[in-house]
Amino acid sequence: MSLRNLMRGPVTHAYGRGASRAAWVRWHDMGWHTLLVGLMLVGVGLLFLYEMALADELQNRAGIRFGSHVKKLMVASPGLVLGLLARPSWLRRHAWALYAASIALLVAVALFGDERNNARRWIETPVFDVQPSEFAKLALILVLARVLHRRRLARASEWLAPGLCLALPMALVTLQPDLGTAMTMVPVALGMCYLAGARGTLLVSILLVGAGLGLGAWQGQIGVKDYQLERIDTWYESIAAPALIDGKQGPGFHAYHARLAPGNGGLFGTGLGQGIANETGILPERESDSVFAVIAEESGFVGGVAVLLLFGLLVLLLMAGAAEVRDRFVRLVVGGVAIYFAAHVFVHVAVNLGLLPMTGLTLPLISTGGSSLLVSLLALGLAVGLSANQEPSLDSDAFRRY
Amino acid sequence: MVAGRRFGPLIVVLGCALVLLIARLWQVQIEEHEIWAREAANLVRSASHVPYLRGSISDRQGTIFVEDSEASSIQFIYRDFRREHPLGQVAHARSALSNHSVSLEQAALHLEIWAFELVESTPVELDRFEAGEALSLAGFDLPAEAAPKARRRSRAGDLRFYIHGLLDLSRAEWRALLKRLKQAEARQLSWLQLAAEVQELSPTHKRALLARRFDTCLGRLEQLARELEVVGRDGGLSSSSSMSFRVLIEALERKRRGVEDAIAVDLFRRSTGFHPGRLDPNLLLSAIDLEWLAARVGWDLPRLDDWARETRRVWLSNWRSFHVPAALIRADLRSKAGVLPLEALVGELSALFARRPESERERHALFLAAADWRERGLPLAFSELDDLFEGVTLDSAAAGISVPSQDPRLRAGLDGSDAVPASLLPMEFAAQVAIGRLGAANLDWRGAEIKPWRPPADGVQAALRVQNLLVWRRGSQGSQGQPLQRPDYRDEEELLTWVAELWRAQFEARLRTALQGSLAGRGELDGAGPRELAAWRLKLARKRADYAIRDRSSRPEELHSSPGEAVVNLLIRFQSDYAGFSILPRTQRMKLALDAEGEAVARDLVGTVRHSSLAELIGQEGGRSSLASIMHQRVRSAADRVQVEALVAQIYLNDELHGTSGIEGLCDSALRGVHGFIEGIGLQERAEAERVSLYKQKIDGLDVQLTLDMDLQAAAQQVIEQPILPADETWRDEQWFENPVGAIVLATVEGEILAAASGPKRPHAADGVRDGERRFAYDRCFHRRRFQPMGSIFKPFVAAFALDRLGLSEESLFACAVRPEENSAGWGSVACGARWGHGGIGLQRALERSCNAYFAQVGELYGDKQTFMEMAHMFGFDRPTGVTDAWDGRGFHEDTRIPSFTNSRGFTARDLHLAGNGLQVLEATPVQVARAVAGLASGRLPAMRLVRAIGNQPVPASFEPLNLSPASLESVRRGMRAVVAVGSASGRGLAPDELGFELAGKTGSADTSPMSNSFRAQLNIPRGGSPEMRKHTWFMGFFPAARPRFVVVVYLHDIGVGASHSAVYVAGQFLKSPSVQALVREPAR
Repeated sequence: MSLRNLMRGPVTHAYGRGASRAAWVRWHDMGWHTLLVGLMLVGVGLLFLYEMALADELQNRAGIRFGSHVKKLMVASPGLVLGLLARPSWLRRHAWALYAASIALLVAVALFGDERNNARRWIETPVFDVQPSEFAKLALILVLARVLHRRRLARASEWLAPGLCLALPMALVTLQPDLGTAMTMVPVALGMCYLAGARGTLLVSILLVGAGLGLGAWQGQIGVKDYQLERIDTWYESIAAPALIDGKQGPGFHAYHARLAPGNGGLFGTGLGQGIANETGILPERESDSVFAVIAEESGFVGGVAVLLLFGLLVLLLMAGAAEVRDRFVRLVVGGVAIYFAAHVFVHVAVNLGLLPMTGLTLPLISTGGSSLLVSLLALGLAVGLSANQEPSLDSDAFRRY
Repeated sequence: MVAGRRFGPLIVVLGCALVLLIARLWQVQIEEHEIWAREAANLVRSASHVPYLRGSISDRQGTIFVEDSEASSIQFIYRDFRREHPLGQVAHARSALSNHSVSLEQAALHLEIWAFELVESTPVELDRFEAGEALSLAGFDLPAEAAPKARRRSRAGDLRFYIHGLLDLSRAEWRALLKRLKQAEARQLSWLQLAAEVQELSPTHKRALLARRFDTCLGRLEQLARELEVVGRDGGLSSSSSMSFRVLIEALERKRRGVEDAIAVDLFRRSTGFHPGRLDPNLLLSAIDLEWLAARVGWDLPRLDDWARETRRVWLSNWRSFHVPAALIRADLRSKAGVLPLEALVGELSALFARRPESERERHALFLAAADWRERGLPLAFSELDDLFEGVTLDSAAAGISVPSQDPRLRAGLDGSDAVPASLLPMEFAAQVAIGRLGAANLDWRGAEIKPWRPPADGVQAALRVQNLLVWRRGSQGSQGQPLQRPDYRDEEELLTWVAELWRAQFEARLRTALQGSLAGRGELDGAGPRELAAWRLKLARKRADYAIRDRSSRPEELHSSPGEAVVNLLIRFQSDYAGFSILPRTQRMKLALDAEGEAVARDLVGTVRHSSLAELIGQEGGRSSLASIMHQRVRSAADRVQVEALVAQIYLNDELHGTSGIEGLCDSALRGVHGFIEGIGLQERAEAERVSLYKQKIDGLDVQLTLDMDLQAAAQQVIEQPILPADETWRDEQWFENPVGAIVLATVEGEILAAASGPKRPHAADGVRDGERRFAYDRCFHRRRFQPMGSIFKPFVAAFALDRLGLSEESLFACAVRPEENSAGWGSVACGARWGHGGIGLQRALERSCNAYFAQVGELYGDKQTFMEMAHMFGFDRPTGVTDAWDGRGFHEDTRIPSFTNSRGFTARDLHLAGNGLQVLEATPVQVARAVAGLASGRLPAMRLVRAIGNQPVPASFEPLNLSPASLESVRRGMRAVVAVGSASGRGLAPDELGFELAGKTGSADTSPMSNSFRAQLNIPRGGSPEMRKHTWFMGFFPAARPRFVVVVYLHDIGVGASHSAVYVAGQFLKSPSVQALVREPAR
């Protein structure tokens, strides 16, 4: 069977009759520049993962394997293509089903997931371990776009559906427990609500109330687990460098090394593979949750800012693409993906720089991790593809300017 | 387009977030770069000293006496043992099951049974256990628990971990097993069955494999114990276990308890801010609720009680043996640096009650800051009282002054002056006040005879006694004052230690008051039980716990300092069976030259070494601190590098050796080298040369070659240890020959000491009627512990000087006749050995016969003490022999003083008579005699040498001219040849045909004390019979007589019968030894 025939089946099923020719795909309207920026970030990830793997090999450590990252990337790449080819109407039609599937996966992981370090977050597969919470984020974007497609959030009753859509995956992810990932869903949801028409002052109020509740929970130690409290305490006590250095042997170990690496990099960095993180291998999760620390160390402030600007550019391009879309559902999906990238990058970098408490979150497109790569490439593909593959829409937003 | 209504604000918000991230990145990467770069550099910077090798000490042929050799020690890391050794796994799994500490002894007794109980349990049983349900294993029943909370969960987690270890599965196999566990029916199978399944074995086979593994692990430990030759108490673990195995397991258990104790101390200190040893254990347990601690470490209450008591014991021991001495040393150093002594003392004592620095960094900061004691706040523990307990505020002020340094009167009294207000003296800290002045007096009175020290009963008494001490010391300084009365104190240090104890007692009493008083005030003392610590304190401990457990249990502890080669091979070859045990290479000072009894040859001469003392290490704290601060700099200047090298050269390592006695002490400066220093900026594993940022080559110490000859030394040692009394000798002191005490010296006439042996070489029990010298094994060649006159061997020197300077002629005759008043022959107060006297006697015959009357009259020729001392000086009897020349003399001491009574008055006629015969007025060591006889033999007085070469540099010989005419010397030499040929030494084995060479010599004996009746009875001497005196006896000589090359001196201590003959026999025995015979055959240089 040829590759063409192999592709035809699933695409036909997914996107409807005639999908094999992908007639709705407007290749000339595709945001290639956005895609290029995304692929550059993937390239950055490949480069640094290669150096990490090389360092581990040189030091004879059983750690990061570049081949494994490439394999995950190969598995995740079709996600990008699928995203590019996705048909908006099909997505809109099946948003609930996809959401339900992601919820089912979250339930499945709670029941059958692989427990590591007292958390059930993964389902083992032969290729890589699937992390359903990653898929849930994308499904949340789709379902929120579907829900907000016809709601402008002007009335209180219109908040119920999106609220429930957010609450369910958040609750399941929190139970894993993975509060960090759960919390990243909030900015995505709020951002999409804002794009859907919610008043900014209301959203700011929600944020403030949430922050207040969080502060109360922290101070009152209500509904927060010990280890979470410890992380928050550690973060609070170690925002300043000397305090973090003094507590480096305790719970602040990860935070210390995550800050030490970029701090050591200085303006121009230590050079590829020459950073302390790679040399010692002591920085935990440097290939995933702390990959930015390695990038900032080895490429310096200049390189760190460059990567941040690339992400900024990616988000800006996605936002720009979304702003030009007439289809409200598509606009919300593309805007949601942009916020998803922005939120992930912000939390990941802020955690490594000590602006937020330590939590495990990958850097989209760069960190290794099968689920992370697959979802971020799929999201990128969807955003770029949907921006181009607009279908005729005569909904009420079609002629509004955003 | 982008500036649309909705996307615009969102982009602005995201842009702000991006700016925030970039700003933070700037702060971390640019502004804090120096901080983090230094941290990073220190993370991979591995700096270490490269210890030098101390020089070896060898004999003149190059045979090594002592050298630094490679050795090993066995290190024990409890964490590895617990996690990887079946015994550790079983003990800890059992502890997790039963929720109390199970000892390694118990685990060893039941290893196989308990291990199989665990691996034959099922995952579902563990799940139920975790959920709080009852657990029933083959030999273990645990009831259900109503509220298991997190503790059961953590215990279940531990059990899974240890079961994993016991099953001996690879990582992949364990993952496969966990995967298999996802199938519900698999959870009903035992762990053993599951393991067998993933390994594709039958359960029976797997069981057999595990049984063999458990058996092997115990067998290996037994083998290790046997090889270590650990001898234990009676009884064993089982009938098949050896005693040594039990001792080894007990040792491991002690290490384990030590690790657990240290973890608990760490967590307690973290939560309370002070060491638990500061409190009496009863107060500790009754005042503070420590259940949290017991739960965290896995203890039951009896174990907690043990910990409290043991911790107190260890803390007190450290307090007395380390903390207080260190404080006193620091005070002394500070007072030498110009701080008023009392100021320094109070400052250091108050520091003992100040908060202990938490980190090395803080320690350095505190040291460099040298905080003023007046600025210190509340002492430790008291500063924690207000929020020590949950919901209770204790009043530290109510307890009063907890340490004297808080007393405003003391603060005011010492302000800027060392003058202490008199009104303070009767107070309980009067002692401390007075001590401050002691430091300024700067006197050494440690040499005085001392009495056992008793602490004063109270403060007033203390003040009086300290004042007494002050008066005595002022008096000894030479100022006017009343007659001196020696104080009762053993020494200053003990008194100061007692003062520190006063401070501690006051501190603890006040702390007790604060804890108990406050609780009592709340009506909670009786029956209320201990109080819970504040929640935030418990949180501190909780945060610390994982790190403390990992850190404390990962520290290597020395299990054995010098295992044999077999043990080292065993541990290396079967590494997997000895998880937790490792071999650490090190250097060890090894005495290689051993005699047949395993004793080091020339042990006392070669000397001893010690590690760096506390005072030395504390004295270098400043240097260490400077070195640490330079090493923490990320970038160093050239000046810094120079300073590093200088500091490294100065700073002693803790285990660095310092010579304390013998050659080790004498030549310490040569034997020592200079440490190297290596600092890598990369990981050690890479070990690439270019990654080394600082490398200072070590310089090994110089080898010292002695003049001693190993064979001659061994022969001399053997003779002095086992002298032989010929069977045909009628004058027999067999008791002495069975318990000999004495010395033999063999040297060249150029002063090279070839052998210097002393007996006994090993202390013996007190030898009855003798003077007890056999209890002491020490060098008698350079030292004299007792009255040690030379007797008749002094006569040749007296004669030579008199011939040359005092007009004595060889032909001069002196009378030796019976003295009517004494009814015996002699002159003046000196009796002669000849019953009826020698009649008129000349020099040659006087030497042959050792006529005392002759030499008493020669003594008269000297006329006064001055002339006599001039002669003694000429032959070197008033000064060291020269072995310490060119050295600082540290560690090597010679007894060379002229007895003090000869200095205090002029000589009477009796003194001259005695002096002429070498009696009473002059003493000498064997080496002094050897030098003098070398002078007689060669005409020049050599400086004696023990060191032949340092490194490649020979130590040159040096001489002093005797300034005696050759004729005078030759006359005496002739006399000495006659002594051996026909005189007092003849017929006792020293004839040329017996020795193989001609020997010239002189016998001598000196009365030391009258014989008691019991002593005479021991020697079978009838009452009133001869001899009446106990004596030391000597023989000195040179050979070959015609052309002297060597000198020999024999000294026998406290001999009774046959004194003058015994030394001749011993000399003959030595000179006939093959080593001496070979020496004589050596061609002359």
